[in-house]
Amino acid sequence: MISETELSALLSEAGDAIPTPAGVEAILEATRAAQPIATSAPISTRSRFTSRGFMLKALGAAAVVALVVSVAVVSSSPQPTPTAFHAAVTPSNLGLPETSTAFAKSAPVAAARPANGAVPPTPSTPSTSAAAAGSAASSEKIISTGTLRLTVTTSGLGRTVTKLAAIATGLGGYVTESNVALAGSSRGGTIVINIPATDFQKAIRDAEALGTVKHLGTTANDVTGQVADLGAQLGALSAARTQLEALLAKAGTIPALLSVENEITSTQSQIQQLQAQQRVLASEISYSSLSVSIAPPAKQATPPRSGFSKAWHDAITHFVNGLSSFVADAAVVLLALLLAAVLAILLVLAGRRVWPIVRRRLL
Amino acid sequence: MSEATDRLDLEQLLQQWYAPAYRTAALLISDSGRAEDAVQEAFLRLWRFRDALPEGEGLRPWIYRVVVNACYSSARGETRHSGRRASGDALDELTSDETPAEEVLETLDRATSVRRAIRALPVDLRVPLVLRYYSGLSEREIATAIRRRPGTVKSRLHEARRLLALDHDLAQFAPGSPENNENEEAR
Repeated sequence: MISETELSALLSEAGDAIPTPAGVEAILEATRAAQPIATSAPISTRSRFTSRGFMLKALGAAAVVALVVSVAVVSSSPQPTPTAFHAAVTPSNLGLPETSTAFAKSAPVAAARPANGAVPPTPSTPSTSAAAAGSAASSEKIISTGTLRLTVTTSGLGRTVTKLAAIATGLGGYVTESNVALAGSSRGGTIVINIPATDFQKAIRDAEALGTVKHLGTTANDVTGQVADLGAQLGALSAARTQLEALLAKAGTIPALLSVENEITSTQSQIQQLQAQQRVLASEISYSSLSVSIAPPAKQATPPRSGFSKAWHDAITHFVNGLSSFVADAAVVLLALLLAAVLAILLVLAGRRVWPIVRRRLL
Repeated sequence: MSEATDRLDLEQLLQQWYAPAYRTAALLISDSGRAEDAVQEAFLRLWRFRDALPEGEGLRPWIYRVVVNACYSSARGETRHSGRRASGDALDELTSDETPAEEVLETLDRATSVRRAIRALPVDLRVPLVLRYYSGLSEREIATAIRRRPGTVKSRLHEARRLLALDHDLAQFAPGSPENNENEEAR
């Protein structure tokens, strides 16, 4: 068998030969996007910057659209109507997909964010529970998470797990993760439950009652800006798709047709991605996550024994050890005796069958 | 805990654990892109529930526990997969220094054989094997990480080593393997 040292060396070499990707930045970026803030904190400045950045993009897009419209008006018709506008942009020069793409993507953005900066309404997403309705009713979109550390009796670990699951289901939630060791030296573990956001505090209170609270932490991540941005982007892309469909009807050449169709496919794909994000976000807003770590209380060190107590304890220990050794040794002897008895029986049985034959031959 | 402290802690956590966690995942999962996704998912989970992170000696098995769980999720297709491929190539890294070409090729050959042999093992044996002999966890820490008894871990490690010893490709790299012993005797 391969020795442990050789195996360690081979695995180390194989593992170290694997190039590590630059994933640290990606994770930091992802966590930055989901940066939790204090429950009572105001809306994060990040979302404001995002909205401002988005508005600047919208204004820039509006300027581009205005420029395109001006060019179209000057080159085609003195009185631009929507039909004339499309005619100016599309039929003759649709062989230049860049132009139509730029138009298709930028115009709806401007439409989604009008001059007064109002955020278009978020398209409806599947409502998962009554909590979702409650959450949607408020203007702020919050993703709440909590962490609770409980100490429970060793015998009560299983019961606590069951009760936590009952709390989740009783409030219309569910258990997402359960890693609890009910036996062995390291008993305890973690249960993560998702409950409707409206019942988050009630769930915490109910869970607190199951043991001695060692730690309680909650975070609230304000995603109002993110939800608004998603809605705006979806509105913009939907408008872009409508525009592209109109262009498709007017495409006069096969390359133009293919170009517009490609754009529609790409836009549709983006819409579906954003809708998926919106559904995930709605689910996270509707359901709060509570991670409950449960563990039995730490054992207190027993004071060292002395005097008669120590002597008695030593005597008992030695007696038990001696008895264990005796039983272990006796077991070997008994096993040997058992084997000998089985052999003897087999020999007797064989002898009874063989002896008459031998005697007949001898006689 | 302030936002700045959070970020500092996260960065420290990533600096210290990202590379070993990724390589462990890459040894467990054949697809490097999926391994990257799994490790990213693991660190997001760790950061999200950072209040539950144990301190001191308990941290290491905890981290590997989350990484292994993320790998299981990835293998079951439960986590999203970005479809990206890990950047870089082992050959690029190995040839970046002054190592002779023959040695580089030999090392690559050996590493490929080891990874193939590991991935041929059943997942129940592969996980403790990688955690023990690559990540350097003790049997007790592995037991905590995979939520099994230390005795179970021990027997799985033994079985994994026994199966690896039967692998002909791998055996040629291990002087103590039965195949090499037979070859030595034949000579």
